[in-house]
Amino acid sequence: MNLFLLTVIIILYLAVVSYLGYRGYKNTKNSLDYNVAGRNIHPYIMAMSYGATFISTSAIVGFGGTAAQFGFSLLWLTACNIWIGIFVAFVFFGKRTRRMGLNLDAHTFPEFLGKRLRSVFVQRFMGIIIFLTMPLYIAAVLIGASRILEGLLRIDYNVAVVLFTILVAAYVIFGGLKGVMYTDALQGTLMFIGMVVLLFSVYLSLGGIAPAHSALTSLASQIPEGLRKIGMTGWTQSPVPNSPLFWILYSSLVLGVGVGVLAQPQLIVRYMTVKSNQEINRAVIIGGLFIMAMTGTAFVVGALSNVFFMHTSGKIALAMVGGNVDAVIPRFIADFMPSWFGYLFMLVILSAAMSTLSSQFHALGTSIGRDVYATTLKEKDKAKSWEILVTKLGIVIGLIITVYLAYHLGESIIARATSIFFGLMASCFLAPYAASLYWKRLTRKGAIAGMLAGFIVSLFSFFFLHISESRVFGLAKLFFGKDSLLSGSAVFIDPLVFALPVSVAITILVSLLTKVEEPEHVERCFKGI
Amino acid sequence: MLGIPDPWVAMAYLLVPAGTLLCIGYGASKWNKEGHITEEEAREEKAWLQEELEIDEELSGEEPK
Repeated sequence: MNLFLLTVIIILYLAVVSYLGYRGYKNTKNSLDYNVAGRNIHPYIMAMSYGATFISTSAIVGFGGTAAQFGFSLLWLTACNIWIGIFVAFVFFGKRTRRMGLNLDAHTFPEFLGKRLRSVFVQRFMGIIIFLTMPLYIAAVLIGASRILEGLLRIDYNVAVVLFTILVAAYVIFGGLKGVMYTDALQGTLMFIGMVVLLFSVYLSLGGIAPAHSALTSLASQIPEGLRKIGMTGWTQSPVPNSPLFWILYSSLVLGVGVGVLAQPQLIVRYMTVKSNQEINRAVIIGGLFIMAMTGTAFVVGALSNVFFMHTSGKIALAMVGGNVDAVIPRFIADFMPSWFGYLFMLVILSAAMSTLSSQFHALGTSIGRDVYATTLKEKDKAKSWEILVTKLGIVIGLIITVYLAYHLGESIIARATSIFFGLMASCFLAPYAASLYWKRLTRKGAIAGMLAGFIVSLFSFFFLHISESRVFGLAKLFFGKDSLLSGSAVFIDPLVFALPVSVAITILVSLLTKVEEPEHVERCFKGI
Repeated sequence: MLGIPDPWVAMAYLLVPAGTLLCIGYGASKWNKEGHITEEEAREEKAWLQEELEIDEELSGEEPK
């Protein structure tokens, strides 16, 4: 570790980020009228901020490492990230959410659905679910950041978790939540440049695109026995159909995260920050490019790291890091790129993690303070200071749970933790959310039934069907004497595959069987759409 | 194709730039569209942003003004 070089880069970087953050914050604060009357949030900032919230250490470190393990098939997730996570999300969900969010004056995802359906229950239920499960996703980002520190500074993982937690706590306690979003654009830009440089360097060093891929294809004989057993055939080959890997890859990672993105509470609020649909149209361009450069590079480079490590050490990536998938990308950056690039890359990724974390804590805090606590008050303004206290308490509790999880979840966990959270959000909320935007015939009862059905089926799957979780919980074993009620490869089918269709069907069915409670309110929601 | 023997995987690889091109094409073709908002919408937006800033300040520990 070159301490002098590292210190210089850190000081320079922090100086620029702090200056921009301060300036951005001051400008916005002092010119509210100007911002609203003129163009408030530039589409570049909106797309970058969405991108920097969406893509974080979880995507780059966690899923990049997973690509090193499973290969190019994971590119289906990148394709979904662009086609669904950007195009469908912005064009088909973003525009309507922006307009309806304004009609309803909603500021959080639970508040949006709660007001659309005129149901405090919906808002509270969503608030509680988000509050209870969000720490899993926050932990995934925290673990990713700690793995970067561990890999590039060569420090102990436990020390890295403590270091990064102190940094996060300082941000949260000393008011970083409001200032940090203004630096998103800078972080996003640096991440973009860093990833493009990385992609080119890797292809260049491996002799070009096709030769690099061919070299990866030729490594098929090196597949570890464990992976071969679950259906892996090569890093450039699809897994065996209906094998355990097939379901892990396509149902949990590709579908869970690729579709789950549509119902992410911390992303949905981003649509409302732009002035008109024109900004969303323009942001689609930046978003598409950004995601291609981020997850596209991370997954390609992750998979190709096998070729690099094979050349330099005669081992595949997994063997280089003792089987810990989450350590592949940090190790690769440290070994492959010059140290100044590694340090800069580390800072950029860590600050991206900070911006993701700040959005996550924002969503976590408001879920308990605004969506749960404040809705129990008769007169909202009466106990504003209590609401603030509950919000802050919620964030502190969330932080403690997150750190606990970061220590106890173990290795190779980032992608799984992320996909569980994404899948659960989609299973419970996607059907009522999509219907709220597009279907005037949706009823409150239908939405609540769909939401609860998605939740119950998810829980049932976690406890009794999906073996990765049901084995840990042990309930299936206790009641039925086996780890899963399913058999064969079906035990690897993600809960989302069962829960989402059930949620969709119940939402539609119950809505058709009941009457729209307040038709004039629905018209108000759809005003201008 | 491109050194990827499995067409299904090659398709995923190609769908990545294809999706990006779709995004670029869509954004470019609608670059100047849907920009008009009514006065009422502008008013609503202002109120919305005001409250959003208040929430941010509350989260950061400042009492709202």
